[in-house]
Amino acid sequence: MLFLLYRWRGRASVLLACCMVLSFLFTACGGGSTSGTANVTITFYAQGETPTPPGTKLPPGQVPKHAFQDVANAYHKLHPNVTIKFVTLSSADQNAYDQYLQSHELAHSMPDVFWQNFDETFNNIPKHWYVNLSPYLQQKNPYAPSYASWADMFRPGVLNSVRAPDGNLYEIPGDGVGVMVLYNKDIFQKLGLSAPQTWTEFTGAMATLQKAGYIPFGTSFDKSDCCASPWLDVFMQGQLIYNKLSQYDDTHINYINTEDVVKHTQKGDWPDNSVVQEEYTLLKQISSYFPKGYLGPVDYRQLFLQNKVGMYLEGNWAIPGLQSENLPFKWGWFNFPTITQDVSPLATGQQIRLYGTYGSEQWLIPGYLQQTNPGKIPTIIDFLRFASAPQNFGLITNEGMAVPNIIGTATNPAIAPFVDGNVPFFPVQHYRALLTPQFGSQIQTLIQSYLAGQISLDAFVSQYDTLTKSAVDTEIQQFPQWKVSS
Amino acid sequence: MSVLESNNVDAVTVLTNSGPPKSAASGTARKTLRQQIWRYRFCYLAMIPTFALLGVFVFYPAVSVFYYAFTNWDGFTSPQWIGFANFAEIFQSDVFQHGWVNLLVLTISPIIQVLTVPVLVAELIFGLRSQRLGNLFRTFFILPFVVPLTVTFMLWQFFYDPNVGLINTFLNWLGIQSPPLWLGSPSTSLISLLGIGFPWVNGVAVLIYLAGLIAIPGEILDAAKLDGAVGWTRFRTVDLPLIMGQVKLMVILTTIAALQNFGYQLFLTSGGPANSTTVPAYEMYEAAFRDSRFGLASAVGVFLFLIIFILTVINNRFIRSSVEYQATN
Repeated sequence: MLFLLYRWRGRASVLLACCMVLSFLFTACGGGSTSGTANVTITFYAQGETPTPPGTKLPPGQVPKHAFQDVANAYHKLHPNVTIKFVTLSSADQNAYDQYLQSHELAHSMPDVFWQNFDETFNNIPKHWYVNLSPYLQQKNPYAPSYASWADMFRPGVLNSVRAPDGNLYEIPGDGVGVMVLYNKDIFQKLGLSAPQTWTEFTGAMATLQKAGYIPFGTSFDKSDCCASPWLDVFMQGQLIYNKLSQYDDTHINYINTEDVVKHTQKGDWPDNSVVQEEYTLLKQISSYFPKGYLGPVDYRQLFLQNKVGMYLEGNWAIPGLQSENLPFKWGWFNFPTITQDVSPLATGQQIRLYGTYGSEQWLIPGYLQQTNPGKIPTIIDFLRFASAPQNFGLITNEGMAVPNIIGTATNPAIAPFVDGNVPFFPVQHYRALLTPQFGSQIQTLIQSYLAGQISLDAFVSQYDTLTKSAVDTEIQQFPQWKVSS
Repeated sequence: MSVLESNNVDAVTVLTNSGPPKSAASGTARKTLRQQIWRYRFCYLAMIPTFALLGVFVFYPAVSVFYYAFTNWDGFTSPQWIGFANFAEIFQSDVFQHGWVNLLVLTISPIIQVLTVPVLVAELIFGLRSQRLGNLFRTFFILPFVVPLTVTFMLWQFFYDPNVGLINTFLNWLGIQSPPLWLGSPSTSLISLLGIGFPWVNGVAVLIYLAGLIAIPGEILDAAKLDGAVGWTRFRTVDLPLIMGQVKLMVILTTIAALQNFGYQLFLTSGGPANSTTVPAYEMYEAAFRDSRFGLASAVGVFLFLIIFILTVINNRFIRSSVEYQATN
């Protein structure tokens, strides 16, 4: 351009150059209208349910995924001007995915629909990273006319479990993850063991497994492990406070959310120090059955596949992978055992089910679209409504063996135990999701210190209490309306 | 080299002293400069995009950190000025206190490693009579660099695995019933990180030291031989003083790398167990991307910059190179 200007030097050329620059700018920055019959392309990152791109070479035993693409194609047939384009990203590495979100939200280059776990969204809500979907959920879903509103299509309690601290809903929680104990049936049979129902049977089975040379219970308390430590926390704490839940449910939504925790911490009855003390006493007792070096990185899942681990906690997401492995031994599932009164005086004797809205079908829309291309949002919402209609959503969750949160969507029989209605769902999140992310990390460090013998139980309980209060102070700074007047 | 350096100094002195009086010359010089810029204006114009990109993507982020360090900033919304609160936190919080101690260990250790094993290997290669064999060893020592660092970390994680890992399997075979838990225990995790890369033959350091040794004039080595300086005596009195430039470079590079590095934590330990392996750089990363506390992360970055800057100045000032060594004599 500069060379052209130099050569021609005429006003006409300058005018021409200005026109060119402006036209480039308009082309690059223009959001374009998507109303009417204009062609629209919706980019979609569907995490674990991303259709397998054609020509992908899969590992033996795995089958390509196509259900979501079929649903997208069906929508395109209804709305020929709308094309759904699935994008492939990797959210396996949480750190890398966090960086991706940060940079692409800044650059306004996110997919139009993307995946993120609800508890990871809370920190980003003040940054306006997501479209508030509450108003849309109150409207009717035209693809499921028998429901009064889109929100009514979700199983009771699900929407409350992902509700943000400001009371809004920023994601469509399509599916969830159920957690049970996965065990090696062959080893259990060889040692004359059956799936334990009570804590006493559980510790007895672990002692037998250890004596036989197996790692009784696979787990890792390393911070890079997403789940093992928080899951144990929910299963154990949940059983100890089950009969006190109504005491904390100030918001009367049958769910103990962050607001409840913040308010009850100020009132002085959260955390219940006697429960924390009892829970971690029991945890330390069974820690001798964990793999060596469990406070650091241990690939216990791999050790299970190698026939070295008796049992471990696992989500239903693992079933397709385990089935494709064609393992040389039989495996099965059982509910986490019940802590009984003979083990702990605080035990309620109530077995609980761990279920969290953490599956692949967590759909969010980037907030910047409200400024850059608001006309596109109704089209995106319309596709999400179409995809979440039971007749379509069932195709997606059935293929991915996900537990659907949409009423009327059949659950794949292979994961039926995870949705067993006889065992009540525990409506409190684990420590990583309850308050700030920093709090989750601090508590895990504290647990590591305690289990490593660096601090006493009393010091652990005291520091747990202090950290909770500190995190609550941080929450109050962000949400002053949660301050309880003394 | 010393002659060349002293010539340069002389040249600078001559230029400074032999110039015309400032008041008379400045106008002419300025005019000449303006004329020269105008003459080569298209060259300068062509450089603008490069400098603009450098400014936007390199200098602006680096400089802006000095401002953000004094703010409460989530990386997205407007920052709020909070004074020295972030700096207070990096000294008072428990996690950073662990981090500074660990950082000291993780900085001193690689410096010792880079000053010992690679020097020894370089001396051994330098002492080989066959140049072909020397080249072969050089290639072998640099070859591991083609392996991505993440793969190296994963390999070492497997070596250290207390259940099925290589090291403990070997120790069990030797009859040791309770071998260390390595990365799985707060008491052994930091020392395990120091063991990564054993026997610590840093290929780049070997090449740099070897280049220094090769540059030593043959006459000096012959004279040393005649004086009876062989083996350790020659290394201490001849080789080491003459490769001090390389030593200085490696100390600076290793210090900077150690202060900035958080690969071990990111790929292996997440700073645990119980903060036993965390370092400020890792906490900086976590503050930014886990907690959205970019202000705190900036404060850590600024403080690390200051440490690196001070250490580099000290290193340049007090570790004398071979040229200066000759000059003082």
